Amino acid sequence: MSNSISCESINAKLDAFHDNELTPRERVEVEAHIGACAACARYLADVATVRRSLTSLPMLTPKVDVAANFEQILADRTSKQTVVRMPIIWGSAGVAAAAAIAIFFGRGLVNPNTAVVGSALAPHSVNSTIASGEKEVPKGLIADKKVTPLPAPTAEQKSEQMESTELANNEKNSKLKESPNGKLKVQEVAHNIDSEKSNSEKSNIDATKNSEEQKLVADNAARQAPAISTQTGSGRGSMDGSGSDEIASNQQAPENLGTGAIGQINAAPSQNASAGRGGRNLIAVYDAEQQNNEELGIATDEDGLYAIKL
Amino acid sequence: MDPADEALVEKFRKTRDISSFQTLVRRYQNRIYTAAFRILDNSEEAEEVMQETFVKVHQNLPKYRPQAASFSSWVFKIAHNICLDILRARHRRKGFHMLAFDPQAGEEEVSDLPLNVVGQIADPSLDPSQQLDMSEQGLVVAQSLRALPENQRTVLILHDIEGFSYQEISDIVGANLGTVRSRLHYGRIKLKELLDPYFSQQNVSTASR
Repeated sequence: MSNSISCESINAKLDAFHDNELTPRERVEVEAHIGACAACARYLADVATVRRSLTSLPMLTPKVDVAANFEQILADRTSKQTVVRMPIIWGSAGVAAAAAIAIFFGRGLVNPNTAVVGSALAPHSVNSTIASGEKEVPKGLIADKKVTPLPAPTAEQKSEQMESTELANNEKNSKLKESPNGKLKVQEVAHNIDSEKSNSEKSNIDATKNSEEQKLVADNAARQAPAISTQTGSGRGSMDGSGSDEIASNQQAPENLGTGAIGQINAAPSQNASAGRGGRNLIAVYDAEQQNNEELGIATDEDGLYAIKL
Repeated sequence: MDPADEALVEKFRKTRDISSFQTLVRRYQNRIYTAAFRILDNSEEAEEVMQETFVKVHQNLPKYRPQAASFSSWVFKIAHNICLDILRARHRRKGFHMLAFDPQAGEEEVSDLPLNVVGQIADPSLDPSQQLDMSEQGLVVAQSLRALPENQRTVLILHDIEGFSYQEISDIVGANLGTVRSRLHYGRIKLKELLDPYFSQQNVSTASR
């Protein structure tokens, strides 16, 4: 019995003994013990084996020689300092944020000539179609919203709009198709957020420019779409709809975007694109089954960037 | 004899001679890359860690105090913090899937698209050339190391591969000495368990010759 207690207390010191991290006194104590204890001596041999196997691992060589290119790397960093560089995750979150905006926008924005400033949205079915601003306002959706009509497009703006419509052909739609677990099936046209048009003036112009032919299709699959709620919204998000890697953005969400609120939404050129148009797109889908304890909703990090679960 | 790290740091501080700094980078870039790769299990992220580490070292060199920590442990502390940021970001994006689709494509075509883009981006595999460099035992050990919890793996890497002392590891990972010792102890036990089948097989084949 006394031997096992002794082994227990010594065992905690065997790694440090092997690593030469014991005081001289402790070292003598361990040496005396392992001379008489085969189990502890065996453990010590195991430690040596593990260490040898780890030291046998080769040193790897990176593809980039940072030392040789350091000045260039520094110069690149300096030039990028004016641009916010987002890591992959927030690029993905940006894509997802735009998808959520599209969903809200699709439900809440009825007249394409309006920008919606509203309070918290209750979760809704995505089963709605908005076509050419003629759609009836869904009950309960904008009843408590302040709707600010934007001026009708002038001839000049319409001309610009034609150009933007052409541009929209290159813009991308987003459509949630089916989650890998097969439970989530949503079809939705996502609105792109033009990351370069960040100030409010441009936002208003864009909203005016794209005031026609807004068509958002949400199909029957949306019946299965889980509810979405917003948690915070002083966000800064960006996406180009085509990918998520290193998306730079200066876009600033309106300041009145508070908890549970939808602020003035910039109608992006992609609104002109319907489901049958546009190229291949990427959209981030959150599969809540992979994280058991998370609630549905939209969260932002300290930078105000969105992470969304659908 | 090559000048010590601290001497190069001092020279760079005084002269702003980039070649002194480049010498330091050259000394550490492979070590940082290798440690980051072993922690993150992803070559692209390991490269990102390596670059970011030296940019931060360059920016913060005026703040470095040689009396407080060796240059090597200071550099590894920066690298470790960047690794943790990446691991946290991974945790945040856990559950995200990237779906690709073509609105003009039919249902069947859509389903043929590569769905889990995140998984492809996070491909942790080594370059084929690097895999060739590794012996069978090396591959088994590296694979077993990957199976350890991140905190045990990090301590094992810092101690058994990089040769840092317990105190230095404590500074690098921001844990107390007892925690470092405990992680090392249990990490080694776990690694030994994982390696046992391989070593037993090796012993059998050696004995049969």
